[in-house]
Amino acid sequence: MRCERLLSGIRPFLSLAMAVAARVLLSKRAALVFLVEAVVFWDVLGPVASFAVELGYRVGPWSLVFMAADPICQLFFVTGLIFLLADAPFVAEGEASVAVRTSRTCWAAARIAAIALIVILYYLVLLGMSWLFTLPWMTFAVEGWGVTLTTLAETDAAETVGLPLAFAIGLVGSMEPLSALALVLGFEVLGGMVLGLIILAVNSLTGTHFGVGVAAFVALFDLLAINTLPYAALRFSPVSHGRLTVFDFSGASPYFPTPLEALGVDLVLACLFGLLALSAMKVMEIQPRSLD
Amino acid sequence: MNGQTEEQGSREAVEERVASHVSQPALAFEGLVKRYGDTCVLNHVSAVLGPGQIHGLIGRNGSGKTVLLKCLCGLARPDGGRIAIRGQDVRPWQKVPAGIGVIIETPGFISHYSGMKNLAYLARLQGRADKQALRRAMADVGLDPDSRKPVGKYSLGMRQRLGIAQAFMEGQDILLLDEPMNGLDKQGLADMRALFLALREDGRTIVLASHSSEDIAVLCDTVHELDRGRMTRLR
Repeated sequence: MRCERLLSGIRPFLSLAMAVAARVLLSKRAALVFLVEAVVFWDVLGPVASFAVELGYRVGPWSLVFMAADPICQLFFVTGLIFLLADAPFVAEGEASVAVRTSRTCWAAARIAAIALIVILYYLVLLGMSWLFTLPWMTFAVEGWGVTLTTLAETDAAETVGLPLAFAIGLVGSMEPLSALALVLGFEVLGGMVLGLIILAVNSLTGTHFGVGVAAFVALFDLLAINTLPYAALRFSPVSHGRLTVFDFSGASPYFPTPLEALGVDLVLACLFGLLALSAMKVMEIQPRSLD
Repeated sequence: MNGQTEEQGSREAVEERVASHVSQPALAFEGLVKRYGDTCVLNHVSAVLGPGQIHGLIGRNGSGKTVLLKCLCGLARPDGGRIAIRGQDVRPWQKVPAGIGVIIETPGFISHYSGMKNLAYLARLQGRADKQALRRAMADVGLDPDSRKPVGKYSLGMRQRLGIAQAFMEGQDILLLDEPMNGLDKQGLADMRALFLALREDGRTIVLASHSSEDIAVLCDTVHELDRGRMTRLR
């Protein structure tokens, strides 16, 4: 009986979250974002595939780890995500008929869940793209990082073949590829969630699209932290945490964060902006707004 | 036999609905104020709307009709005043009581779903309507419940009909309709007028915001006009 009541409470929440996520991911804007990301992947991974052919070895499915370790690729990833989430809280035309059927808390919480779904699916699509563009020369049956990626990371081969990506040398020696990929995806999703919740909270509070500007600043803070600010700033930059090269796995560095510290910072930021977004959405006027 | 029982049950439901509201207004609001910046869109607006009637709301563009409907169904928060639905005070951001159907501005649907699938999605949010009720609502507005045509390919009039169907499909007894006749052709207008009169006979309360003086004249039992934030009862 209690289980049935619980389910009847969760069902509308899930239906609403999935409908919102589907609306965003099936929009023309999403198609445009994925098209631009595809160009980036094609540009970076095309030479990797050519190198694999030249070398006579297949590529392992770990290219995304190296792409995420590059600040410019990372900037492309988060810019696409910010553009995709720019209209949060995604109030559609005719939202009135949805809003009167649910409580405001359920309506608002479903939007947060929708952002989580969108971010997860976005990075899964990027992972799929990282496989797609090397597919004819790719194999899942590879030991460790595989010869191709190890050669690119540990020699100057990348520079010789004109790869537009600096392969991070430290990654290959310090981590198992599967753990590295899981860690990258986890931190990318968490960082993306923080960006999405910032957009959601600021847009809902102000009734504008100012959240996009704030999220763009957080995304660019990654470059500031690398180039201008003290390295300790990396601890507070959720976008930087998707790059495994910023982590100090030994915990000895006074500047670089450990993965646990980064996780703590990202979770605190996500909770903070999640609560802010929830309370803002509970009192906002439901009014369709779109950048389109 | 079964049909007789169903008919009797339905009549009893209507009588019960009417009887339960005889003693109290369906909607009442008093001293309602809503400002946007320096502009006062609703300036101490008050009215008592009886049950089982069609109440017309007229006014120029920007006179505050839509804002008033938004305040009544909880989409916008009034800056002052009180709202009571079926005699119960509704505080700002408290969940609006169940049984209110709305069309505010343009009805919006998931464009790649069929009409029936859209209604099923909305019904799932509240868990109240059975499939038969949804099919009946589609048929009542003149749409084919078995059609697989996606809503994205509907004409404006068909979308409007679907919007009206979603407003009453779960047996809502208070309907807040903002320009529900938009985009309907002559036949559509006649059909929807007949439908609204039938819904009134069924004991439902309808608040109808419209620009069409003909709709107001034919359908409404009471008429209120909003002008520069003030409300006047005309009939």
